[in-house]
Amino acid sequence: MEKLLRLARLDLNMILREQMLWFMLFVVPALQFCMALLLLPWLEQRFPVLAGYHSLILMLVTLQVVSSIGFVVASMLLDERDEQVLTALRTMPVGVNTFLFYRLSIGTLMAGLFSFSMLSAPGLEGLGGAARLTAAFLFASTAPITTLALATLSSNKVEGLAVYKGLSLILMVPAGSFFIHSWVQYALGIVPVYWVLHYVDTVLAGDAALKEMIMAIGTHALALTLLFRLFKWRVFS
Amino acid sequence: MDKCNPMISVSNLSFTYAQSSKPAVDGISFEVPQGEIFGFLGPSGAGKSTTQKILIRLLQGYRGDIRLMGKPLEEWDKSFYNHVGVGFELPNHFGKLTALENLQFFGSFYDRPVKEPLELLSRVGLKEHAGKQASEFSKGMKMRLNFVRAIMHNPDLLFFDEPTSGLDPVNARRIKDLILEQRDAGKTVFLTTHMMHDADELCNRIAFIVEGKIALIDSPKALKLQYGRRRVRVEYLNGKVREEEFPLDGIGDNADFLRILREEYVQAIHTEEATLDDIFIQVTGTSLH
Repeated sequence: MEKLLRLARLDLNMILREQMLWFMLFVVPALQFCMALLLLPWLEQRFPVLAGYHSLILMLVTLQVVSSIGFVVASMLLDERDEQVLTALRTMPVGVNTFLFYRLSIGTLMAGLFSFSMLSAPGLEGLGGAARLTAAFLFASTAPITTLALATLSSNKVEGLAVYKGLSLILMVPAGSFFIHSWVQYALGIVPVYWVLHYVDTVLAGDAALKEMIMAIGTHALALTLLFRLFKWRVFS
Repeated sequence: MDKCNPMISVSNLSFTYAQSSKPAVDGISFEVPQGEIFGFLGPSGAGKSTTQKILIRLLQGYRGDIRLMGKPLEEWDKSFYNHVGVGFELPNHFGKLTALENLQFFGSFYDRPVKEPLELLSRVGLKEHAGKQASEFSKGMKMRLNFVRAIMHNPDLLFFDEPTSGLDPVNARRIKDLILEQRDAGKTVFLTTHMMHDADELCNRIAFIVEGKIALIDSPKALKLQYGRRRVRVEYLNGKVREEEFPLDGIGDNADFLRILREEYVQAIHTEEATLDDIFIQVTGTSLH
């Protein structure tokens, strides 16, 4: 535990020493929180049509928060790849897999805390404690996917930023399923986030959401496994 | 570790990269006993780094038998790295962490006590830079940080790849003294280099590797004597600088040699033992550089 805390403290030092990283980790989520708690209710008063999409907007904001955390961890990994630190870590007793697991877990944990807070915003009271916790975990799973996708598909942080923009758009695409009322919407289920959005939506509608939860866990696990293997192949082969 | 058991034992080691049809390492065998500095010398692409990568378990898929610290390499788990220190040829640190934080970070991964980071930094002249971020270091400073990271957990077996690369003479001396200190403490050092002077000064034994094969293994002293000429060259001043060579055999009775010593202003006397560079070229027919 002491070692973990030391590692986390040094990670925090690394983040605080780079403007883009602390901006993405602290300022972006803070702005999103402000938007969810202050701007959205105000907008809904002026444009009542938005009220019908309150929960969807909150979910999309939550996605932005968790993906920005994923971006921060990806940036750190890209730096570490450039600096050959990952090679050095392969000659440590802990092993690079454990280190990557630690890095991804820290990001997931933070994303979980942030998304739990976001899902506690007014308008999502219908979720209840257990479902909120589950939804927070499912949303948080997007963080390591973002991290691995960026760290695998980009050669450096500048490229990472470009890929992040593209990925953010892809993460938003499943929202389109709420406007498609045919079987075609299931095609968007290829993006794991689809199942998370529909899990929350189904719970809020008061229905059983076991299918959505299983699909969400399954698609996230599959994406994570594939991306982890791809990342290791790209970096170490 | 039992003194009778070699720390490194390699038998018929071969390795071919997936994208190549020619082996990078081709049936090499050698042993390194405890407390020895073993130099692995060869030009770029000879197979030095590949061999080292196999020995430190970064490359799989080799053929042959390897035993490290008395145990087959494939039977070691991650605890292997508690006993082994690796100093890479290129710096690899967290650029945004300070030198001290880097050592604390890496040190936290070991399951055995690590040396006091500030004390280690002081040994390589980096104590006053302990609070500076590694990205602000020069290459030489990064190499020194690499070095102390390799020894911080007091490993029994050390691998260094060009440890004095990018260092000025004062700091190269510091690093070489620390390597010798490790040997004196009973540690075993596997040194990969193409710097003959370092190998000559540090190594108990050296191996020349060319095109994946070991061409020769012996102590630098024995090699220099074996491949050198048993002659003495005298430089003296007699109006202008003159040079004369004499056979070493019977030098004490050589009247011309003794006359020069007695009557001339001698500037220098050299024995004509071979340099490791000369021997390498002679044995392999290729140059190191």
